[in-house]
Amino acid sequence: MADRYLFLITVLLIFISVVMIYSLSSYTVLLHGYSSTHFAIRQMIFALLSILLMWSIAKLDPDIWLSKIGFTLFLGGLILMIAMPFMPSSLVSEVGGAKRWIKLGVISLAPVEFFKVGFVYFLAWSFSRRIGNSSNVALKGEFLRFMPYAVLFGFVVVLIAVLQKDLGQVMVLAGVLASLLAIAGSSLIFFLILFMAVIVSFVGFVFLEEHRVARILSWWSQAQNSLLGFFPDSIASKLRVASSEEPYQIGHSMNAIGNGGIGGVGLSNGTFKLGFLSEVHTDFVLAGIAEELGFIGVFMVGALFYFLLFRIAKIAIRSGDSTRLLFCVGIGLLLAFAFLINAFGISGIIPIKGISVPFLSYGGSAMLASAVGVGMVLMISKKRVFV
Amino acid sequence: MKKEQIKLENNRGRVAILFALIFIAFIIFILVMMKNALMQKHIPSLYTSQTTKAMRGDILSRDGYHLAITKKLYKAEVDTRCIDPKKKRLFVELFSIYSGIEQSAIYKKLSKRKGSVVLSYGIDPKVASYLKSLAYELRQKQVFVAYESVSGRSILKGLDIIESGEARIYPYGRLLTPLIGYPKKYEDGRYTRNKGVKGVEKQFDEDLKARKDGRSFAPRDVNNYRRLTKQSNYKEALNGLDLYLTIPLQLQVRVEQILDQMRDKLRAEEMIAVILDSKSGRVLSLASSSRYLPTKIQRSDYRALRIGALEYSFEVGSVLKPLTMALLLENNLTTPQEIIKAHNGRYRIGRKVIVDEHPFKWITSENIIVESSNIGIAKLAQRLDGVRFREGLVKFGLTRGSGEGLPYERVGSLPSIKQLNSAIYKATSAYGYGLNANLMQIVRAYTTFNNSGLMVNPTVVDKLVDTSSGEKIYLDEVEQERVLSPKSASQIRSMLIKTVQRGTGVGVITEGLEIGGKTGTAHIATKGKYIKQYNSSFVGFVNDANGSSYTFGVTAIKPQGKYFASQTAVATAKKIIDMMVESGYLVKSDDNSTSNQ
Repeated sequence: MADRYLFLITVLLIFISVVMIYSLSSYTVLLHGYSSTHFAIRQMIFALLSILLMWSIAKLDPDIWLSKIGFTLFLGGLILMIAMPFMPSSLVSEVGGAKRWIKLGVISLAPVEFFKVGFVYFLAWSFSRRIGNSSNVALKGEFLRFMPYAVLFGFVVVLIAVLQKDLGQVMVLAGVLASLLAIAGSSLIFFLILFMAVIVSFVGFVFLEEHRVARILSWWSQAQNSLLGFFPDSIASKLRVASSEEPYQIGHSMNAIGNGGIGGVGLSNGTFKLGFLSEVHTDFVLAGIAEELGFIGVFMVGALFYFLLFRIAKIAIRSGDSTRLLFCVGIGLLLAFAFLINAFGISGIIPIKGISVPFLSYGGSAMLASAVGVGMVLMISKKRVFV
Repeated sequence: MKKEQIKLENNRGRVAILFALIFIAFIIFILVMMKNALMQKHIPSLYTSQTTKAMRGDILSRDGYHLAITKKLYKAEVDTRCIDPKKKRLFVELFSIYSGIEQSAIYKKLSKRKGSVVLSYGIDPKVASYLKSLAYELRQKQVFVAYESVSGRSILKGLDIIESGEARIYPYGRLLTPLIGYPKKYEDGRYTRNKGVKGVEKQFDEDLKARKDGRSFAPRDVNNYRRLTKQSNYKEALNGLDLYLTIPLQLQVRVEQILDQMRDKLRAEEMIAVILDSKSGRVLSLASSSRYLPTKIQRSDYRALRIGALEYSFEVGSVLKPLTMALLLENNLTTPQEIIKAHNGRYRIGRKVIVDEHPFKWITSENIIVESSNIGIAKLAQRLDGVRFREGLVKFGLTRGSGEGLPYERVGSLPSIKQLNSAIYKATSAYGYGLNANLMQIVRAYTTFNNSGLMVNPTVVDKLVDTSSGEKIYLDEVEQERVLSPKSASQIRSMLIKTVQRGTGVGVITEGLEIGGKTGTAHIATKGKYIKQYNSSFVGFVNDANGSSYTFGVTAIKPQGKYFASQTAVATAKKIIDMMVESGYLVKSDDNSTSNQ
């Protein structure tokens, strides 16, 4: 029997999402002249599809289906992402110069979301075979062993970060890759070297694009007031930057959290969703929840989410198979990193990154793909060994 | 198999460590959120409050024309620092189209200084509403960008359309001036308001003036638009009351035309006229040939500012005789048929020689009025003692204003009781010299003759209307005062009718109407000496068979050439009566019983 808790928590998060999207999109629908349920109804359709899909996948036999679904998503996603730049605009929707969605009739799907699940499966499958106990392998050997993955990941970076201009997804994938590598059995030194490389390349990517620099600066302009207090004035004045237009978003995110306080202003009573936070139903959904449901609401959502991760970790440990273990951990990390990057962003801990919250943010592809991932974990949960 | 088992064990340990790290990250997030939620920070106002300025009430004619209205004026303000330089041209072009202001003028204003600039003052409400929708469009098109203030706060302002004040407008220009009066502007905070300083505008300033500004307080969105929630609170502006006059505009216009014609014909300084409803005291017309534009008063208008019928107090002359006669009849000191020696037109009292225009040997009391005999009335007046004479005139209202329903009055003066005990004063006062009154006072006194001895309280106010609630407020009705017995009133009434039929008022005879009246031509005294200038008046009443009953008075101030009342005031009254017949205020009857014929 599949893990009932994991299923129920996921359904609960999806349910919260639909309710919050309905509340948080109230200004956006007016602005664009949509009906008041425009976003809510779409989210609800995807919610039902996701739950159904998750349920169906969970019922399948992992011995037969896990690798089939995993490789289909990996290869299918990869092929679609390679093909997308060459597809006509009648098939691909382009937003701000980035082709991220494939149009399928009335809905659009983002292949990258499904690819992430497939990529995690591929890594799990491959790591469990090639990267074992590193105690008898020299550091040089570890590098050689890692080279094929580095090349593959470089290719993925080009596809996602460059062609789709979506650095956030790449960051999540890089985090998952490094963490799985560590779990699969790389040495600590190798892990740290890899970790440094990720940081360096991230900084490089930031300076490649002006808007990313602006984003960092805007975060700094918010954070500087509290941090620069520790420096002497002469140094502080050099580090201080003038606030640009962007702190608007993070500033209003903080306003929303502050306005919500402990108990929140009540469902649908939020103010900062009304045009202040322009992407409140996608990237700032947590800020929206913080305002309307308060700290208590955010705490509940955070606790639910962590409980979801905890269940996944438990399934991983009990799976009794290193591919399945790595896959489950990978799915858990995909969800955890996305959640944490977003959560740290909206609370001003790190620069804001345009990444959505799994299961909570508005967006059909992300929800469907996450549901597929969790569905596969549920599938695995049926075959457990007791340790 | 054992190796595989070790590897899995190893993996499990690392998974546990990883998820412990993630747990710590979640704890950090929760703690930071708690700090953010609890920390007192400066949150922008979540509410928007707006005031809608209440406006001064309108003045309307009886027939519903808006004689004085208030129009709100707006100003358009923009912060030059908030206009995206790349979109400045778009802004100027659109603002020019919406406001009708030349583009070059807008550029000039924008370049004048950095910061808030008023692009236009005195915008009328229609254009203001266009500009408000423009402001919304410009926001949508992101024409405005934030700038950083000195204190480091980022400020974003759009195009603001602000109420700047109100203008008082008189759509009919000079019409009904000087009665309607004029306003004066004053600053109420940064808002320009009007208050009445003369005429109806002043007398009823308390009723007309704006009562309470409207206020709205509500949760807002980013554009400062109000949201309707349990917390929102909206109080409508309470404008001043609308004041409906008793005067129909259509009648007033014609009376003013007649007065203008007659002023030109008689070369008079001013012509004034009053028409009252004899039974209710409602003023149908209160007109002057000297009028002005209330919004553009010039030095040459200064004389016209006073309301002649109420503020010009003069020696009324012979129109006072019926009042003296009424007092004599009321005190049983004479009868209409008593015959009095008239001394062939010259009669001496003390050092004073009294002269009659038409000399008589003998004359009846009735004919004293009909023929306007100074000698007759002077002799009869000797029978009144000073107390009764003065009290009688006081009762006729010559010492007091005409009441709540009329603007400021100059009430005139009467000789003292002591003076009225002297024979000469008795004589001159009896025919209207040595005492002052305004035309309205005389007309009011005359209503007693046409109203069975009761004196009305004239009013120009029909009602006040609260436009927000629809409530109608009527002024307290003051009880009509009994001045004469019905018998004395009717005796005078018949004398006045005869005056028109065969005396000085023949010029006003109109077939099918019952008209009575008395003329008066009074020398004007300047610095204690009588000069060769006259005020000619005709005061009387006109009734028709349908029950319409009006009391009226006409005064020609300083006519040149012809100055006898019969040639000036009577002729004017005749035109007015004919006009009233034409306009349907009077209906001629075929039945001759009520006719003058």
